[in-house]
Amino acid sequence: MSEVLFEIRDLVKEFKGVTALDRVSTTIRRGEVVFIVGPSGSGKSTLLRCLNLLEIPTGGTISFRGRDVSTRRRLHKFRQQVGMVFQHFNLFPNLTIHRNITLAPVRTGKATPAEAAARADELLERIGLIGKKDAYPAQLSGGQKQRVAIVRALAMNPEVLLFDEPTSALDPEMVGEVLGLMKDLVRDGMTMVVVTHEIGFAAEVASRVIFMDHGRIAADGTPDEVIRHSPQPRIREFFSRVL
Amino acid sequence: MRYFLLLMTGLLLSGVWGCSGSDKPKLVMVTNATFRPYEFVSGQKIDGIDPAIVREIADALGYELEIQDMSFDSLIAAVQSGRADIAAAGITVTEERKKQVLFTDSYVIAEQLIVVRRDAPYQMVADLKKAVIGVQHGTTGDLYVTKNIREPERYAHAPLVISALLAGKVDAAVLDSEPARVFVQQKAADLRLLTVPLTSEEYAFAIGKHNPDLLVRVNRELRRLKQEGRLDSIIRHYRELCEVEAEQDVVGGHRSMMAHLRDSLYVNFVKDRRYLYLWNGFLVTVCVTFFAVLLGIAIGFVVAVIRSTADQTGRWKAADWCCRVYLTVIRGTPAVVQLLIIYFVIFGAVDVNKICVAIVAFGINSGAYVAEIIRGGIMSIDRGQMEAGQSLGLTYSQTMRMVILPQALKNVLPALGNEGIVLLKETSVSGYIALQDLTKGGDIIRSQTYDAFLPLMAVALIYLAVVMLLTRLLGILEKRLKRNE
Repeated sequence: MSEVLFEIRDLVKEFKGVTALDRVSTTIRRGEVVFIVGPSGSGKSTLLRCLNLLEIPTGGTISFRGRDVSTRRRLHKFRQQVGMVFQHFNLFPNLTIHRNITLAPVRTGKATPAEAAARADELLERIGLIGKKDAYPAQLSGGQKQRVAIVRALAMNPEVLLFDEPTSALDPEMVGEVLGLMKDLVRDGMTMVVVTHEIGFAAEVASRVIFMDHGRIAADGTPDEVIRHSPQPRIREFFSRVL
Repeated sequence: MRYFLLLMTGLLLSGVWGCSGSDKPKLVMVTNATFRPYEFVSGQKIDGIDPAIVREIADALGYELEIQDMSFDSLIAAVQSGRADIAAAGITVTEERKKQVLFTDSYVIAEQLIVVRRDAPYQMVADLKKAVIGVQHGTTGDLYVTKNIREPERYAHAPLVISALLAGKVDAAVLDSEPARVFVQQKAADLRLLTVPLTSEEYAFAIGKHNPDLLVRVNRELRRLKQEGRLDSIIRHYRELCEVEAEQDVVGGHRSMMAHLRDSLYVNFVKDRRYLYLWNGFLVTVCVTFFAVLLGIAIGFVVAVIRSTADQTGRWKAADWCCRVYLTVIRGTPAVVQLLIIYFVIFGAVDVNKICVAIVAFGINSGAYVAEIIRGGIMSIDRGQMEAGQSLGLTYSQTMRMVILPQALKNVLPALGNEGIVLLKETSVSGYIALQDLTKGGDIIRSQTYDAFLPLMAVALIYLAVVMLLTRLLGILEKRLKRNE
């Protein structure tokens, strides 16, 4: 078995008395492609955002590569190893595409400006957007923005990439290009945790699927076990409606 | 309370006197240079009967004379507090003032005269019972009218009283005889004097009660000047000088509009290089505004970052509390009051350039407004930007510096520009600390030409031109920044 990246034990998150996560425990290993699915409000995004501590858990522990990070004070060192892709891209509109990508590697000391620039060129080349390197985010389409956001996270060479509904804000004709890039990453062996409503995509590329309901993990297994042949009627009903 | 405040004012004011490099002991004289022919601004220096007499006395006693201009109602407090040595400003000896200071022997007997418009029906004092009377605030005319006739309209200085009279705002002006004669001579077509004086009075110099020794010496010199006839010749010299100037400043009453306007323009701006008051004042205004804006942005920036960090992360509670107090106090009090407090209280005991005082005061004032503008800008940036920065491993402050603030500043640029424009106009209260800014420059011209209209218009036009220019520049800057989107 490969190295354990995330070890999550009895994770609880409450928002003003409302329980979003209710004693969630799971493990994420290097090389896994874990899709988190489930109905709206089931706690999928909250679980994902707890993984890099954008949400601070109310209870339980999160360990990353054997170290408890949920009680750490200086989180940026930990976050440098965990990339994240957001629903609304969150590119920095005041910076060019190129600067969006090089900012973090340079400022965190991971790369010299020259190294970061070369790496950014290489990544932009790979997604076919090298021609836009000096453009600003506002000049790009949604699909282009999301692909830039993905390579911006990749530029930090993270151990794992978190995706928070990466295609939900896109026009339908742009979903394909983003899923295509994600598929490439799967092929490269990237460890990924993905929250999505693209169940078909999950069934195709996931190594594991976690089904969440009411803040708990209701099912956790291969795509076959969870999506196609779940013994639980509630889960079968959910997938019959979205597939 | 009033006296306490006066005392404070004088005490603190006197701390600001400059120092010069001479070995001779210094004699600091305070005056209010809007009272021809006793004291007035001539070019860049203060001249007149009082400065001339005190200079003779100071020379004879071996002092180096330093003259400071200030508002008339602060003069007594200034010598009382001991920071100024002698007040010489055509001060009338009264029982009330005798309780506060020592008076020298009188050097002139003056009368309070009543000036009215030529066509007004008033002939004697008794006619004034129902008239609106204008006086200079804090003068004996003010005291006498308040006590014996009725509550007067109080103006900051004598030329304003005359302007008000000419404009029909008041029916009669009560002034000391010397300036009253000069005014009437200048505007002979419009003004006349009532023949009977309202009251007569003695002028003397005021010296602090702690300094009876100086009083004795000044009196001795004063007696000598009287005996030598020097006193009379000084007084005559300045009376004649002012009468001649007044004749030159008379703008003829029965010529065409255009000729009249041309003469007015000449008298107000060209003659004696009076445009220099506007030009120098303009430079002061621009300098104060520019540096105050910079200071305001620096302060506002720091305060806004502290406030938003406290809001978003719960850190820096104590600093946040201080910022809140600062914002509440500054936004809850008028700028002119803050300016006076900073000048008289904070910088009271130190010798600081008035321009610096104004920059600090207006910078601190503006900082509060800038802080809230920038904080609004920070709050308006999507939360996702901070999350994206932090998810990449940047720290809170790195994300703030490189992602949030550049966007926030761009968003608030129009509001910041507006604040700069407000500040530019706000600096027009600098005259309160006797700083000669643009507005004060216009005031000085008015105090010499007694024309309210042209100097005011000129001042207004200059402000307007600067504001229009700033608006234009801001527009260009905004357009530039928008190109990045």
